[in-house]
Amino acid sequence: MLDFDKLDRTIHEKGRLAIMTLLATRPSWPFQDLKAELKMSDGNLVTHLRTLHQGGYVAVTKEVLDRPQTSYALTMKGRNSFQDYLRVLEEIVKTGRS
Amino acid sequence: MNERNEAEEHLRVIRTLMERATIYRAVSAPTALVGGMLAVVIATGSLMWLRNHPRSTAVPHFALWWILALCITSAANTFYLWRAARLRGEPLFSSSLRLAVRALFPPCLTAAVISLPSILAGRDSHLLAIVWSAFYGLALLATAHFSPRSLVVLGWSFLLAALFALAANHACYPKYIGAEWLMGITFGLFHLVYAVAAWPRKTA
Repeated sequence: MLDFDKLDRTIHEKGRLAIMTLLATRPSWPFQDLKAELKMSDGNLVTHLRTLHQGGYVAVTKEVLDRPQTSYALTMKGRNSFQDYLRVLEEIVKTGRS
Repeated sequence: MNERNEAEEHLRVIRTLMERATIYRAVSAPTALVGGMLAVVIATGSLMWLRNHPRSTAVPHFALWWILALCITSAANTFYLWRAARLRGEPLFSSSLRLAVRALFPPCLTAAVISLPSILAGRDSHLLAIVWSAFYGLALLATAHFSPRSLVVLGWSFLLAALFALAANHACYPKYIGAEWLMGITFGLFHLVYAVAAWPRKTA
């Protein structure tokens, strides 16, 4: 029997799930682009990104181009965890249908 | 909400976010309609002029007419993209638009550099039509990894039409497939077909 207990709780939170989803679409995302796409406040986004970074799901790159820019990318652990998370969700849906 | 419904809702949110982040239509359907109609008008006008001047092989100021059409269509595209971005609550220069510009720029720059001598000399309309169609097709194909399928099909249509015209012109030399015909078919007809196919439909 599959249930929500098998889902990764770090990813399952709505805001962090949205961040992980976007990070899965491109090699890296600048902070400002993530903020614009998700329409989150700076504080909220920073808190979620810090949680994901501390969990080893997200890598942070700070660089100075014409101005300082912080970019975020999924780590290998983050990508695998996201795929596992999707698989569990799909299995829950399939189990519910059968 | 039971677990299955909640799982479905999460998957739907993930899918929507992924599509929003990865699919970007750099040429909107209304822009294609404006550009297509403009191209048909210019091509038809040019062909009528040539019919009335049987000794002429090319329309005067061929390149200028089409550059004017490009400017009008680009302005229309900017307006429609801005309007669509505003409706989504996003800035015009979103990360998706920047991604599209980065993909479109190299083929467009190459086309401009190859065309420049012919534009300045006011000749080689056949070459210009082939170069513009081919590189516009390549520019659209450069956005293939984040464009909807209809835009990729449009890119291939331009490229194949240009290559066909190039091959046919070699085979039929000194009789060419008219530049006006090629521009009318590609930038006119193809854009109109794309506009119909990609026009936003209201869902019930």
